[in-house]
Amino acid sequence: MAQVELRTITKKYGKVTALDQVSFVIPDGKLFVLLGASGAGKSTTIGVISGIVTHDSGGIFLDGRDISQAFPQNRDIATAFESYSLYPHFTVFQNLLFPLESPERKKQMLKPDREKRVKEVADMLGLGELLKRYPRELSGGQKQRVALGRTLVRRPKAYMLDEPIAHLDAKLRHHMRSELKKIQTELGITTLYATPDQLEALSMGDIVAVLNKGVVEQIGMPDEIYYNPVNLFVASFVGDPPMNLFSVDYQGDHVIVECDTPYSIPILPEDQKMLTEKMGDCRLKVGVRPVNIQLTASDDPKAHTQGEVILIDTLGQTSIVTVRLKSEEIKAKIPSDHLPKLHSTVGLQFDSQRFYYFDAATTRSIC
Amino acid sequence: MLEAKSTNSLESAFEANEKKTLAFYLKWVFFGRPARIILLIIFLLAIILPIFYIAMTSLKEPIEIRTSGALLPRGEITTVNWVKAFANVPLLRYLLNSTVVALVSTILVLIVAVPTTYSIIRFNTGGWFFPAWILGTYVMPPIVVSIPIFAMVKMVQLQNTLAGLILVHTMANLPIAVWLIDSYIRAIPKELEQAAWIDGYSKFETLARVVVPLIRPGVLATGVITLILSWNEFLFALILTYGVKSNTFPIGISRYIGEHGLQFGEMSAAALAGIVPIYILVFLSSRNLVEGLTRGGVKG
Repeated sequence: MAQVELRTITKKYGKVTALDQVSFVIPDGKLFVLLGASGAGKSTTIGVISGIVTHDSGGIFLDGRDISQAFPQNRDIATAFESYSLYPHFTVFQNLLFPLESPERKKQMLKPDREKRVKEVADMLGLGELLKRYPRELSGGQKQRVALGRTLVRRPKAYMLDEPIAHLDAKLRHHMRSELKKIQTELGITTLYATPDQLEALSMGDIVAVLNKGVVEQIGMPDEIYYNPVNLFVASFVGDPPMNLFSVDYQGDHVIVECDTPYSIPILPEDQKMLTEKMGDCRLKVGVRPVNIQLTASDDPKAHTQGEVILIDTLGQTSIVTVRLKSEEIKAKIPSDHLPKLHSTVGLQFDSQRFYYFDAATTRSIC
Repeated sequence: MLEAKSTNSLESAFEANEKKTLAFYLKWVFFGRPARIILLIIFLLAIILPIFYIAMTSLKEPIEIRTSGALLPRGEITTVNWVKAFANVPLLRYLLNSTVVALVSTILVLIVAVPTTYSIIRFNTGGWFFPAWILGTYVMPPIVVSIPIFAMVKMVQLQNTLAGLILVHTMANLPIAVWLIDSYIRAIPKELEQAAWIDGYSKFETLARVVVPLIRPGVLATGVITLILSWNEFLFALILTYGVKSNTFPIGISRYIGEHGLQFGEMSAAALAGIVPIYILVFLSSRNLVEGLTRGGVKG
């Protein structure tokens, strides 16, 4: 149990900056999610904290103690690698037992206790049947569970999980998501969880940090990340499908969307007040999440504009409908029981209560 | 691999009654199946004939050896050479000495070479200079250092002892062992070692518990090679040992050169007795040897 802190960590691979002044604090016992696309620097961050990647500058602190120079063995951090890194010459059982048999931990736990712990973790991960197998005899998903298990048998100061359930099948992944969250809460072990999956991030994280090209864009509670994105990157990265973004012309009580067929949308008086105060004379961008767009009949007077339905993607209860205006495409997420016909013309009604405003030049949020 | 493939396609082309030009026939004669079989026979004869020849010689009457150069014995087959070979010279003692020297020096070589190589590869020990130097000592002809080696062994009072020869063989075979083990260690994904560090193991414990088990086929193959090198080594054994107590088998063979000339028959019997153990060893470990020498990879 410990607080993990990164202070202005910078890491370059040749000319490529993998991490640029990354700083954050993982409070004791919290599940901290590092959300970012592949190549964002998630694995490098985990490598730096685990001690297998040497950073160029900055410091790593475990409960205030600088561990930047400590050998991985002495950091007491358990890491599940995305690449599994299972020991090919050990069975699943031996792989899981290996961390508990290290000289240091051998003294702390008796043999029956160690084996009991391995059995518990194996059962929890559904590996009970596979204990005698060798890694080469496992599927990708099974290997990943062993890699996760090898981490979870330990009770370290912190867990580092690098996309630990990315290669499981959908059903098991869903199950593991809640299972992992439960274990983490029960054990109260500080955890860093890297994932490119925003659903995972928002549903599991106590705190979420959005990482983009080695830069931390925003750190906050899942709600904050979703409802108050600080810039265009976070706004478009978080949310599925991504937020619709429009360049608009601000006209007091309404905005005019700049496109081939400009249309105006009235905005809320409080937004108008806020924009007048804060926006200055910048170019404005408005973001609307697909869930905040309603499809109406094309001649409905409440519709702000209209377009042709070009794609309907049904995801069970909800569907994502892509509507083409002249040159733009807008995505709306609507209940599946009121679907329009493909290639029909529909009206689009935007919920101006849920507008996000951004400065087009700086990409920063205005609110 | 590539050649085998091209031959196969050649054969299938032949069977498919492809248009047979002169170039095609020439190719077929030089690279096709008949050519392969002939090459194999020539190669095998080159290896087997000398051994077959000494085996036959050891069974001939001494008088016949002197008078006839034929491959197969004309007169009666005799075991007299074998009996004399063991009776006139302490051959068993030489074989024992050789066994001790080869085994102990091989174990020492492996104990030193594995950590050395690991350290060079993973932690860049000695920079560029150390690995280059190691390889340099291997390239150098042993005769160049024979006098200094003799002086050094004498300095530590180990001349004419097995221990002295063991040390020198260990030193002489280290470069080749480092060079062979190199590729096996490189084939291990670094991530495995990093995982072990994180799992709570030091660098040395990681070497012992993760790296060594994974490169075991390579280490064994290397061991067999250094064993053979030590078994056959002549120069250092010649200058460092001078008595039954410490002479090794290759030196022992020269004992059959007596005042009455070369005892070809006895020498052949002794030589055969000396190569049998090493042939058995190689035969027993051949699967491991081939696997170890060809496959450095670790499949997880």
